[in-house]
Formats: sequence, C-alpha cells, structure tokens
Amino acid sequence: MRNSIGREGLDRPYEGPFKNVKTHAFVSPKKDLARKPVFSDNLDEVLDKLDLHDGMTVSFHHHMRNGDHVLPMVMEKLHKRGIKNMTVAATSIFPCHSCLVPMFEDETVTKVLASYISGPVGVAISKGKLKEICHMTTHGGRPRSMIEGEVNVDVAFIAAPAVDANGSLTGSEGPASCGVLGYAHADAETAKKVVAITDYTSKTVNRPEISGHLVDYVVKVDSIGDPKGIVSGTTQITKDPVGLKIARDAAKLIEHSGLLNNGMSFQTGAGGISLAVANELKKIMKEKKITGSFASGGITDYLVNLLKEGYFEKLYDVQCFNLDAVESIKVNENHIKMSAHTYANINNPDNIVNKLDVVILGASEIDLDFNVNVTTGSDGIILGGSGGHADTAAGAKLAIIVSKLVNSRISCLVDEVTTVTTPGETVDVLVTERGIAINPKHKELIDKLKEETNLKIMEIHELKKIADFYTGIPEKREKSDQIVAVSEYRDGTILDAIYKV
Amino acid sequence: MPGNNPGMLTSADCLEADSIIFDLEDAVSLKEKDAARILVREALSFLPLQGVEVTVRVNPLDSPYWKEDLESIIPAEPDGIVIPKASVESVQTMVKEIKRLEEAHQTEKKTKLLLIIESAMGLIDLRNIIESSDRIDAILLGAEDLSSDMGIKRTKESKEIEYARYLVATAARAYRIDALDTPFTDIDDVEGLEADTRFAKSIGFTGRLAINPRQIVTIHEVFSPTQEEIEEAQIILHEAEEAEKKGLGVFSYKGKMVDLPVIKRAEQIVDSARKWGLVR
Repeated sequence: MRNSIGREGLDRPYEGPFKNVKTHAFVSPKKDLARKPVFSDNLDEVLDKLDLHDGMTVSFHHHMRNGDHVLPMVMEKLHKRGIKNMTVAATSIFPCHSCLVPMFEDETVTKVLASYISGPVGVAISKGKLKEICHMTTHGGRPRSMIEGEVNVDVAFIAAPAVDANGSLTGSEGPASCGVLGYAHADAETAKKVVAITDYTSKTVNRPEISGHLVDYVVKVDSIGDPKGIVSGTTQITKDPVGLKIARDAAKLIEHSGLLNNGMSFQTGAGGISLAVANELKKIMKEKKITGSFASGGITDYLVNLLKEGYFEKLYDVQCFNLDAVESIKVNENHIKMSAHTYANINNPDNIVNKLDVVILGASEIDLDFNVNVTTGSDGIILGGSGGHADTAAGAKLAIIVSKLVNSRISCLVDEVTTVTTPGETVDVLVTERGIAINPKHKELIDKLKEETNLKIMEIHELKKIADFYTGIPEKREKSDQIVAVSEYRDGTILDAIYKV
Repeated sequence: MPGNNPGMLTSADCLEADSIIFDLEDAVSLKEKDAARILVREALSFLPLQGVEVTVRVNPLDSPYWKEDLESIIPAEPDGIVIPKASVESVQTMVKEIKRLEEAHQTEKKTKLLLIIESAMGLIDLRNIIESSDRIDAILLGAEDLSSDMGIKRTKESKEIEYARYLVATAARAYRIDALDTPFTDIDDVEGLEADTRFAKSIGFTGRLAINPRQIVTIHEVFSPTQEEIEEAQIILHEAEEAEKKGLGVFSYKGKMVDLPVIKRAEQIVDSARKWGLVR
C-alpha cells in the first residue's frame, strides 16, 4: 500500500501529520498509591519471581546512553535462562548494547522497538539478522503506543540512579546520576511488572520523578552505568566556519520570522551547528532584550547557561546530554523534568512540542519535498532515528533544518531521501551555507525575508542544482525487497520501509 | 587559505570575506608546492566563487617557485596576485612576467596586485614601491615577518608595530589604495581582535587580514558602519537630494556645512551598509 507521501509496501500507511490525533488525557493506572516495591539485592531472585516466558516484551530506557550497564546485564541473564522470541522495547540503542547481536542470531530476541539505534545493533538489523521487522518510533510515539495498548510491556527494567525508601525513582542523584528519567515514565505506568535497577538507595532522594507505587521490585546492583557515557558525541558549538555561517543565517531568519518576541519557546539539538544557532540567537536576544519562555528537549550545558543568564525562564528536560545539565537539574527549580508523554505524545493535548515556536534540527538527507532522513545513512544502514525529530518538527511553528549542503563531497540534498524520518510537510526551512530553501507553503515568510534581509532565499530545486554542481549526481543505490525495519510516525502510522542491505 | 586544501578552496565563497587569498607560499610545505599550484589553478577555473574577490599569494622573488606559480595561475585569471616581501624589484619583475603571461594567454582580466609589506626596507621604500606599478590595489602589513626582520619581539599589545601601521595606512591613503592590517594571531581571543581592529580602523586601515575564517565576522563588524552612522548618512543623502531640487550646492546639517566630500562619504557608508545587509 502506498502512503500519502508516496512510499510503498506498508501496512497502516501514513496519511498526514495530524490525521490521526485522538485527543485524550493520560490516566494513570489505578494502582494503590500506598503500594511499595519489594527491595532486593539479587537480580536472579527477582527474575525468578517474574513470569518470564517466550515471546514476552521487555523494555529499557537509554538515559545512561552509551554508558548503560542495565540492558546488557538483564539481557545476558534472560539469554542464559533460554527465553526466546523476546521483543526488546528500548527507547534507544547504543554501541554499548552490542550484546543483542548474537541474541538475534539464536532468536532470543526477534523484534526490536526503538526511537534511535546506533552501532552494531543498527548494522545487524540492516543486514537482516533480526527475525521480525524492527519499528523505529519517535520519542513521543513510544509512550503513545504503550498508553494506547499497541505495545504491551511484560517487564520494564528501569535503570534508576537513586531510589528512596518508598521505591520512588530519580535520575538526579547517585553515582550514575543521569539527570532525568523522562523516557521511562510510560514504561513504569503501563508495564505489567516494573523492576527498578539501582546502585544507590537512600531514605529520601533528590526530586523523585517515578512514584514507588508503580514499581514492583527494586534491585540493588554494583553499578548501573558509567555516567561519562551519557555525554553525547556532539555537545560543542562547531568551530567550522561554514557551520558558523549556517548558524548565523538561521538566527537571522528566526529574527525576521516574526517569532522572536518575549515568551518565545525554542528547542535545539545537541549537534555543533544547532548549538551555534542557540549562541547566535542569544546575541540577538541580548541586543533586543528578549526573554524566552522555555527551551526544551535534550538539555546541554549550553541551554543550562541560557537559563542561568535569564534568556529563558524555564527548561523542560526529557534527557540530559551532559553532566553540567545533570548538575543543574538537581538544584535549579526552573530546570524541569518532563516525561516523553508530556514532551511529545501527539495524543496529549498539553504536550510541550505543540507549544514550541522554533526548533532547530539536523538532517543526514533532505529531499525536494523537504522529507528528512536521520534514520539511515546514504548506504541504507540504520545509524540513528527520529528521537524527537518528527515530534518537534510537527509541533513547532517553525522547524528549521540546518545542514552543510556539501559535506565531504556528499550532498545532503537529494531527489528522494533513503528513509523518511520526518515528513516534509512538517519541515519549514532548510538553511545551508549556499542558500536557504523555504517550504513553498510559507509564501508570506518567503516574501518577508526577501523584503527585510539579504539572506539567500531560493527554491529547493535551485539549491539542489548548486549541490549537484559540486558533487555530481550519485548513482542510485539498488534497493533489496526485504523490509528489515519501518520508520513509524508519531501517530503509529508508517512513513517508510527500511530495506536489507 | 592553504592552496593544497581542496575542502577549504571549495568553501572559499561561503565565508563572507570580501577577498580571499589562496596561498602558495608559507602555508604550503615545500613538497606540496606543485600540488597546491595545480589545485589552485583548477579551483580558479572550475569553481564559481561568486561574490568574493579571489587572489593568489605566490612565492617570493628570492625563491625558485614564483615563476612557475605565475605561469600556472595567471591563465586561470585570478582577480589579483599577492606579492610577499614586496620591493620595487619584486613588483617590477613580477609585473613584467604577469603582463607576458596575460598577453600569451589573451586573458580578459588585468591582474591586480596586492603587496605585503613585511621588511624594514619595504617600509622605508613604501612610496617607491607603490609607484612602481599602476596595478597596485592594496598594501598589506605583514607584522610577523617585519618583527623578525627588525629583530624585535612581536607582542599582543603591538606597540612595536605602531610606526609600521601608521606608515602603511597613511601611504595607502595617499595613493587612494586599500590598506589591510596584519592578522591578529590569537584566533580564540575575539575581544582582543575586536579592540585591535578598532584601533586599525581608527588610524586609517580599510580592512584586515584574517588568519582564520572565524575572524571574518568580527572584522566586518568593526569596519561596517554603525547604525547611527548609517542613519546620519541616509539623512544627509536625503537632505542633499532636497537641496539639489532647490538648486543649492551646499546646505547645513546639525549646524555644519555639508558639501560634496561629506555627501560622498555618506554615499560610501550607505553602499557599505547595503552590502552587509544593514539596509535594503
């Protein structure tokens, strides 16, 4: 079946960004509020008490990012117990989770659901090692699918940096403090059994965020992870002069978009150019004496400083990208923890992404319809995923993609992206070093920018011609016909198929 | 930028510089000289390089490379050639070769010259050097080599090069050519760059060499007219138009007489502001 953006071979085809919004408030399951978990220091004993069975779904979060010890610890034990055909519903998968690859081969794990996959697991899935089709979700799509019962987790294993006497969990204390546990809330709320795994317990803990009454077991282990591993790869402002030019132009565009007013809300990724946009925007906000209402998403030290310096009133934080953000969330009451449901669930009418004015996003590929790929490389191998990309692009009034047009002889602008991660109808602007393309639906913005600025505004076809001049037109890659994964939109419909390489 | 770095050459016109120097001299090691020469020639021939003046710094007259540099580069028609360690002899010798090559290859452009003044002799002979060719478009101060020639220590405060700076700026003004100040070498000190560039502007330099593309924005900010200057220039131009309609040659603005030089200065400011997108 063909979906509304022309991609074929899909069940539940995507129909449009807001065609399937089922507005409902999330109601927490009616568990007894006075309920307390059982504490243990033996994971095997706890596993013995659980109804572990073939075909079950287990879930994990990725707040420890590439320093996570919990997924490998639990999965190795389940592997040894001989449980087969499991679905792993992880919020994201990193290179530290490579233990999953041999488990695909002996069918311990036959299905994976995740919002982002990098490293050996992505390669293995792309090569067809996983028996069933992997679902690449968005950060908002994942809690939606759990709350609506599309994904039913049998056991949620939640890495918890600190647990209090009532079994309540926090990310902002303990030796493996990761700041916030935003992605784990839906798991705690909906899984049949919830096992918190921690290396630190105390009578009280800093800013508990998942209530103990939702937790069945607390298991104390030696170490849940290495906090150094949570530092995302790219949390420094770029020093590349071309990247800096892109950032200056993006900031100028925001200045003239009509959205840069007191109360503006803003989100940026942790990439070098995206952070540089925040830096340029800060200069303009300073000059114009503008205070924003909030910045959101994954939080870096850079946004923490903007909060401290008064450029924004609040930070809504779903995950900390580096240790300065972890320090800040412990002490700054305007640095607010949020769940992925609050952040980006399309069916949550109060979600934060819908309140965003401007979001700055990256792209590994973007096409003439403004569709963006951040899921696969141009070789077709899974190397990322939406995370909050598709959620924020849909929610924000102005979704700006910043990317070098030509990077190491490869153009980001292609006729058709390898994989649609974010549909072009939710993408508003592409800023590159050689020109800016604006989605033609924004005619007023195009006219305004041409009138007020000397930014190089051009049609995306013109920009593509420039890119082709530098790189030539690459040969088309042959697609196999075996689907190994699908790119799932935030509403659960399918944007695109990812094929075996 | 180093002539042997293809990535940098390709992005040369994205950096918002007024002028770019592709370097064949100090930024290129001896064993890379050929590669750089070929790459720069190809870049000049192939890349559009729009909206930016493109020049090439060749090796100096006392090196064995300058002739081959010119032979390779002149047919590709750069906007200008940057001559290091400029002297009357080096300018005259290179101009002769450039003219020969231009004729041989029937190039359309008349190659401009930009001279780097970086020796004590270059400084005291400045007038003769500038008068040695009618192709000279700018003189550039090279303070690192100058300090070395003088046997003095180069400091961040730059007291030791003040005389040279005044001399270069004044000589350039006298011959109505551009004066470009020596690069500010601490690329991470943005405030230092700004303060030092303000000084350069205040004594008559019309631009500055950037040693790293990240310095370009700051240099532009200093040399671009301020909002106040732009507004005043716009008012003066408006008043001048009104005065002309009334048939008046001069008029007064804020109690001062406005005549042709003032109007020309106002036009320059508005032109410059337009170029940087400060006015439409």
